[in-house]
Amino acid sequence: MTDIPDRLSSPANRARAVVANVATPLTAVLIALLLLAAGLASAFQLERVGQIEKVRQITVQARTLASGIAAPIAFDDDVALQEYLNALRADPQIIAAAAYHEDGSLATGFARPPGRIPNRAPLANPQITGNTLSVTAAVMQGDTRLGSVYLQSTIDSLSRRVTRYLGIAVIVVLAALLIIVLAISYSSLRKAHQELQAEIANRQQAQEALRQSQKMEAMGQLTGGVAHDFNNLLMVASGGLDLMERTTDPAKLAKLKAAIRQAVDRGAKLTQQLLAFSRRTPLKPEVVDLRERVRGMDALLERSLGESISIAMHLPAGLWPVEVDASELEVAILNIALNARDAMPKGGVIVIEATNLTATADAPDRVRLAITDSGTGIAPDLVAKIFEPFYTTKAVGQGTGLGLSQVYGFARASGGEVLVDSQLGKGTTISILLPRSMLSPQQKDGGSPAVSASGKHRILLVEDDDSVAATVSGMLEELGYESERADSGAAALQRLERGSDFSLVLSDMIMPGEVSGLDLARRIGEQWPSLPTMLMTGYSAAAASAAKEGVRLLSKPFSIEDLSIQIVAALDKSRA
Amino acid sequence: MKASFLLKFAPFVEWPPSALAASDKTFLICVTGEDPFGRMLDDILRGQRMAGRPVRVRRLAATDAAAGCHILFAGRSTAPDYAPFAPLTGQPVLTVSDRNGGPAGSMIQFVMQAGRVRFQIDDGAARSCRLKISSKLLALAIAVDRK
Repeated sequence: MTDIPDRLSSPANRARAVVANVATPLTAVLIALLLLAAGLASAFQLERVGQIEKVRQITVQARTLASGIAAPIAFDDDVALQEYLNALRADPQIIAAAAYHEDGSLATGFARPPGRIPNRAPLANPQITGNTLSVTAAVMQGDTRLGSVYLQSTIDSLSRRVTRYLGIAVIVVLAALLIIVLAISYSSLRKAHQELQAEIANRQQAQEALRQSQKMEAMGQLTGGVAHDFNNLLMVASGGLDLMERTTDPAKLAKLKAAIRQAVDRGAKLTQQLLAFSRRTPLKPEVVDLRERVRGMDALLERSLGESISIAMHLPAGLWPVEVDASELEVAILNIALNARDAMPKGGVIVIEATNLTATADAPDRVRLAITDSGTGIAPDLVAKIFEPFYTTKAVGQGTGLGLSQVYGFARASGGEVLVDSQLGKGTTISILLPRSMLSPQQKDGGSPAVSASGKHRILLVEDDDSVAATVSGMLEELGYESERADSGAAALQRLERGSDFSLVLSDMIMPGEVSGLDLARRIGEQWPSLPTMLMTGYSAAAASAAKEGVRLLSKPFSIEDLSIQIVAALDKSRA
Repeated sequence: MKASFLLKFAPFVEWPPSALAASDKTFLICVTGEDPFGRMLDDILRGQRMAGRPVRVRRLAATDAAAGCHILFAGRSTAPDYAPFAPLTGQPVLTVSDRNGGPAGSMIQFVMQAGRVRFQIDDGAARSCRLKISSKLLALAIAVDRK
């Protein structure tokens, strides 16, 4: 059965998951840190620019002053000098101002605490000490130096400056926090999402596995009955042949032939249904005609239910089509029928009927498929339990309890429901209600009469089994074809090398030797592209691969009619 | 004090280019009439430069022409025909004198006021001699004749 790979089990994957889970908050923290750093950097930059601006402003003031006092300082006009300096007192930020003579001696000046004026001209670059900024400027007239001025100004204290940036800082920090919170919630959502996805994948796989095991369970139930049935069919065939050898009465011979034919046909039908049944297929809803489908199950049902049970089908024409997975539908019917059989240990009749249910206020148009037995019935308190997986009333080894749960799953998956109507001692009716489909079912080709050869055609028959080869070449002869046999793929190729005067190559698919039927078909396609090939097989998996390559295929066992139609189609195509 | 003022006037005055190109490579301060400064003027001006030239002092005799000077200070004189500024009409020479007792007609005249040396300026005369006196200096003068 399907093993369920745990997608998070390998160390590499786990590491990747951890990285993915950690990456988002990490990125967010990184972004938040970057934001903080950018905020700090811009604050510092603003601070620096502000300081430069301040220095420039005071320097300009000093130069203006220097230019203004050029004449007063040159000609010792203290009154005018004082007037110039006093003008600066109006600015509360200027805490000291002084003018110096050319020889560096103090001309005049003022200072208010904490300002202080030096006694000698301190010509230097602007200086910042604590919260004060000192600037000097030379007093020049033309290129003659007449003296110098000194200005001292306060700058905003650190706490005042910090207060100025506090608003921005709060916004930046909040933004950073927001990013982190968003990232954390995103990351937890993402983790939950991943877990959910892993969970979904696991459940899908488990469901798939359950579906197949339900099918196999039904299959197991079938096999015993089918093997027994096959023996009966073989008995009819071999006994019939024995009898044919001992009689020459044409009427008896015809009767025996008909019996053998019937037995073989039933066997063929049975194996075909079995193969179709057990094939592992994904759920593939198709539009289905219930009447045709259920009728097609007759042989399968008869053989698997045993001789004490008979089946009555009431399937009216004009049933609405439904859209379901056909093989699941068959499994569901079989499961219900098997339960019905087990409910009637003394034998009885199982009635399978279908009716159209016109839409009501609660429900749309539906088709009701009901399977009724006259068995022991189900106790009311157990009715709710019968669809639970692994619930069974059967002895260990006789049932797994998966049968009716498959029915329930099938009905739900098809958009329908299952109803149980049971009376203890009188019997049970299980109804599947399926919604009506507005599409029409695909038509299957009905049987057609055999078509004889038109004109002269030689066919190369490649078949390792002597008896099959004899039968098929007999059919070909009967249809009016000439045939030649090769007993392996390699032999067929050798024959074709000598001369490819054939209209068709009809080859078995599975043969001993290095060249299989499919290989042969490929080689012929390459070397003799105008020569058509047709493969025969009784093995479904091989048939699928042939169909994939577009090789014409004939499923064993086939009738002479099937063979004739396929040959005509193949020849038609090669001529076209 | 007046001696140092003589030199300090120079940065506030703009001579026409001809005055600075024609003379030899010195900035000449001339003194005529009675010299009130004596050695002091030489001490103050020693080593000074003006308009990129070394400053020189020349004391003129009564007959000497003052045409090459940049600044001419005329002191008192008892000579009857003492008119040191007459030959300089239209010449780019900054003429300086004392108002009290000095010859008339100079561009800048020293005045004593409250015990300090001040000056008044005849800007019209300066302009007619193609000398531009800085507004800063004019602002400091106690009187300005702008005609």
